[in-house]
Amino acid sequence: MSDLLIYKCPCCDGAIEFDSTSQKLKCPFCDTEFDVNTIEEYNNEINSNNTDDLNWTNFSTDDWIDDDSDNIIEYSCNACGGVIIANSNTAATSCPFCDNTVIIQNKLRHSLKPDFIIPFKLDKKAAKESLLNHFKGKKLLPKVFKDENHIDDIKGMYVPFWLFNCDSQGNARYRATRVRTWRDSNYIYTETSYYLVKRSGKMNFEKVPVDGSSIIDDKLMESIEPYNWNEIMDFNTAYLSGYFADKYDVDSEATSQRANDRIKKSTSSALDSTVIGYNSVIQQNLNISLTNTSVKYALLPVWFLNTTWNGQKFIFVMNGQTGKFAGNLPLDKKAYRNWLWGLTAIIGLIATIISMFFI
Amino acid sequence: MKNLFVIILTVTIILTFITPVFAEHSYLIDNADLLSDEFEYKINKKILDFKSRHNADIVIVTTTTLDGKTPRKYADDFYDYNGYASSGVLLLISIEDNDVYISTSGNAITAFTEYGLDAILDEIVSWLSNGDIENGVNSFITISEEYFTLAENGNPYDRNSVPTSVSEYLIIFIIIWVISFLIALIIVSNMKSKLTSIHAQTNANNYVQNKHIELTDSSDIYLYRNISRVRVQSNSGSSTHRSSSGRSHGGGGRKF
Repeated sequence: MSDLLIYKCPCCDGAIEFDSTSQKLKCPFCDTEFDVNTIEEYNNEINSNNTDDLNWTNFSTDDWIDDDSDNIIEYSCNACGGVIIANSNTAATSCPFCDNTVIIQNKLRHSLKPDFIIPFKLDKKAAKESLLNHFKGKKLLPKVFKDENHIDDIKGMYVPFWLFNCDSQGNARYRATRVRTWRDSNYIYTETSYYLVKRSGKMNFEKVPVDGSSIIDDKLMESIEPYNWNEIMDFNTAYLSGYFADKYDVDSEATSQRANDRIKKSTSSALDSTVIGYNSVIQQNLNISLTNTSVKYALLPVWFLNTTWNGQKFIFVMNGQTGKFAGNLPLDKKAYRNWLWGLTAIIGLIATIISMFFI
Repeated sequence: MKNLFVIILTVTIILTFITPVFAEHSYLIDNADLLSDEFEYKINKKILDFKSRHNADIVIVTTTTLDGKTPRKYADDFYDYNGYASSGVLLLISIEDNDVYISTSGNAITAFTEYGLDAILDEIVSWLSNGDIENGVNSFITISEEYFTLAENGNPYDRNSVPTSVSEYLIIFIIIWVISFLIALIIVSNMKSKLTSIHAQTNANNYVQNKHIELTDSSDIYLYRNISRVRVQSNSGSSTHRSSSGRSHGGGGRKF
């Protein structure tokens, strides 16, 4: 073994040479001096770049059993390709996604049975009120939009979600600085101290939901989160009475990327929040590994309202449990211009008058 | 007869008091002989008028040599050692090295702000560099009187004290309206953003049990440090300084 070890300088990334005779470490490029232990620890740390371990196991596997499947009817829409299920006493007459009346009734095809369901808590009346509330106070919404709305077309539907449970272990490395300044009669001094900061921590995520239907926009579903998991029930076909349920068409493995992104982001910011007492902090490395993973299939209640205005389609959704409403509204361009120029005139006049007292 | 006596006595008394003022205090000392006699007479009259209105002195000194002093020291000393009033302003024009310097004392220090000094020096230098000493001196007296009047009204001529030209008004007007438009745009954009309520979630914070992260490992390793230093800027030629007599002066100067 050679007695000449080569390490990387934390300051300039140049190769620091440690000579065992001098017992000193000094970077030949940037002249920074280091403690031997520091350099060793630093180099061990930067060489141990673990990678993410984001494997999901324990997927939901329960199929419908024959008893259940006799009570469930599957409908598919010829126009948009949407597939819904309903129990045998709820007849679908039009597609809830595109309003097309040509829908075909089939026997339920092989698929997983939901593990959980949150039953509808808010009825159609509450959904209508919520929509009207949503329109309130929006000065740039075209007035005719409110009047022309076919508010009665509101539909309640169970949307398939994959629920991801896991323990997330995050390891993060930061470069942080502390800055101190002082002065004497001739100079202002600034001392910047650099630190290598490591944080590892564990978080437990329960039921991170990801939309399992390709026909329903993921963003739309994320807008009406969160759900209150205290009210989740084991699935029973009886809850489907009077409502349609969308059938999942994206499997849990395909949707896991979305869950991974969100879990990683949360873990990362939780680790970031523990690095305190520094003037600047830069995250240099982050890896996440998931353990105790499981994925469950659940139906969650959503009110949908499709409406067409001036040839444009608008879709509104409401969380059937919490009442949270989401949906983009059209802009009244004329009102926008009037407000913009009107406010400019008012503010400008007031400012001009005030400025006259000072000029 | 008695009346005549009273008149003579009065005139005598007045002369006794006033003559020494003329004798002891000359307000225009043209050692470099740059000014005509007729002009000197006019200026002296103007300065006395000023003195009666503002209770302060205006002194104008031209010289061919600064006797090895800096313009500032020469001007301060001249004012201090010739018995002028506690408040006043002195204009020094030295043709030795083409220096012009204004020294202020007492109330004149507040009347002549940094900004005011710059402006008056601009004006004087523009005359002097064309060789027009008389107009330079004239505008010095006129502007000095303006500065004193403004200061006595509690509003010394300074940076924020008035935009004078039409173009400055126009610029302020345009800025006001541009800012008003931007504020209106922010308000209306905020109103517009209320129409949008579809937003993707970026994290899973709502689904964290216990709400907090349980730290399993934590270390903060000190690596190295840098020290940098910047020289402290010394204040240059601003505010007040003390002259050799111990009195406080303000002022500033240029080359012409």
